Amino acid sequence: MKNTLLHINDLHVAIDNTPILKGLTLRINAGEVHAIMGPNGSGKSTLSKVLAGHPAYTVTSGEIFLNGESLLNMDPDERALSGIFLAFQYPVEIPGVSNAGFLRMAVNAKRKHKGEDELDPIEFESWIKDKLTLVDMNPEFLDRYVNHGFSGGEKKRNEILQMAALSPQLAILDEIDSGLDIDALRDVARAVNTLRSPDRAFLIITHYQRLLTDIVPDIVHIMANGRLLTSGDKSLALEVEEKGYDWLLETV
Amino acid sequence: MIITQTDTETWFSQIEKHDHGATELSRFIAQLQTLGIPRKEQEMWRYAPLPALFEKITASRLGHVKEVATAEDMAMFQEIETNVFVPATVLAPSSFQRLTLFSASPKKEGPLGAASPTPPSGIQRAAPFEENHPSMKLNFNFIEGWQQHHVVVNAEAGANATLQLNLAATSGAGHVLVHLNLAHTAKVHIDIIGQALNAPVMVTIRAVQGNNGHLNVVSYVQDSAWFMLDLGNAINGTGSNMTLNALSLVRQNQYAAVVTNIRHTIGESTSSQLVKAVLYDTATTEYNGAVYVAHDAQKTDSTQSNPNLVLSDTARALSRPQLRIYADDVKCAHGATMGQLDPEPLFYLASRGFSHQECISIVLAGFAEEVLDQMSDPALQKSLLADAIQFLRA
Repeated sequence: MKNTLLHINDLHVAIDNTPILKGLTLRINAGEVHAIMGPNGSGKSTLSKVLAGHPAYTVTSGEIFLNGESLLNMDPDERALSGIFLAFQYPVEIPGVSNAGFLRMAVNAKRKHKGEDELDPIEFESWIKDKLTLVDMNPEFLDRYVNHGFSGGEKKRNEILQMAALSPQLAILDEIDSGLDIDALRDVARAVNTLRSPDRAFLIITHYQRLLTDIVPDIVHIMANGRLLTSGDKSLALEVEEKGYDWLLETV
Repeated sequence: MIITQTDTETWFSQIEKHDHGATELSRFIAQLQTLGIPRKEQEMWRYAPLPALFEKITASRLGHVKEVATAEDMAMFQEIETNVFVPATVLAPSSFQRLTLFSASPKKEGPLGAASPTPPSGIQRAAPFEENHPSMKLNFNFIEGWQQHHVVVNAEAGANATLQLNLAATSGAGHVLVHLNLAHTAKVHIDIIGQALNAPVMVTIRAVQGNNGHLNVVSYVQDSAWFMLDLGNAINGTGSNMTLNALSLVRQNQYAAVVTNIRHTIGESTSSQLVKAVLYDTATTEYNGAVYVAHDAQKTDSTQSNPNLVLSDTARALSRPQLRIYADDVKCAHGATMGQLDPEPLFYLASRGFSHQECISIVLAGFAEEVLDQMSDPALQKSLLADAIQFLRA
């Protein structure tokens, strides 16, 4: 029997009293890669932020469980320490905070949570090396401020670097392909594929089938109007690419 | 709350709130008024004719100005030279031709009195110049009355010099005037550090830059009853660059201001200003930044940025970045932000496993560090960051 990692049950979410998610149900097992596609405004990014615990969104009803534990009572940091990672569509710039210092503190917070020894700056420098290689990132980016002055592609690589360093159980990639050129997209996809493992799951939010040829999903969901309309295998993404969303909205 | 006017009335309203050294404050205000800081109704575009202020009250000789100064600069310096004091002169080797220090007391004569022929008691030369990388630390401690110090730095061609001004005002008010003459290719870095300034303190820098020179000014002020950094720089050479990085941390009814007047008189030069503040309680900060680009100063590249973290409902950050551009092929940008902590960086950090308090600490420390990273000495950066973090946590 497969191990259920994430279970979302009839989730309703609003922002400023405007309903966004309207009864979303989803189950993701460990080891699986799920993709969510859907037209603009369907609630895809809202779902990713709600899972990470963004305070602007109000869960009006429904439940979310990670490994059987309710996420809804947890703060964003507790969710992160429990194994949730969100790669942001628009990674935030934090001037003055060094990327290396930030990443080391984040890794140490996680290690401390797991009862492991923390890394000092010298240990961290060698520890992070293979992760930098994985995302093909110049070590100089560690000396810069977090995402400050990074190009769109560099920001996305930095997100994947953090994912590799924090080793989450559930990685949510919110439009990781936006703003990436072909080479960067390939690098990011390769890094994600390398990080696939039987005890880790991915939830990939994207507009385009292009990403899903490089990161082949187990299940593709189509989302519209705050709910999952239909699900299928990778061929569903190809079908959407070919026909658009309208036929689905009409038939389902 | 944003107020765009700055004048004696605004200053008075700030100064009157302070409890420290009321008598000195009144005297300080009277001096400003005497010297023609404009009133609200007659405000000039450049906010305050501070050069006129200091031409009246200070005098010195400048040896190497002619290499780079314009006629306008020369007029200013010649006026200074007509009132020659006998300064205490420190001869420095190599590129620092001369460092001249003197003190003028308002109690003796004239609008602000005559200069003292001997180095003032409040000034201490903490470290000597070095042969290859001249650096000078000057500690100013204003203990009583209203003291003035004048520092003249001539940086010759190829010079690479650092000047550190450490300011303390236990109960006296003070003013440090720095005249800088940067010959072609000279680099000068100035660190200004003011902590626990219990009385009004003002630092005025008047600089003239030649070709391919660099002037970096970094200012860190924490807990200032009343502080103003006034930086005027005439960039008279191509390929020259000037940066200002300033951070003010204020609380209670404290006040800190940065006033700049950067003149790009010739093309292909750059200037950037990053002026930051964190405010608590009923504190006030002010940024009046003027950038002037002359008619022929094509390819000028100038930025002004004034981010303020206003962490109480009653604190006020006043911002007035200004551009006066007469050339048509330039890149100039300016902007200011006021507000509480942005929730998005806090959420970003929280999503990486940091508690809410840790997120706030990281963002505030980063806000300070962006400026403190520009200080000349890593050990200094570290110790000031520790001070800033302690302030921000409190």
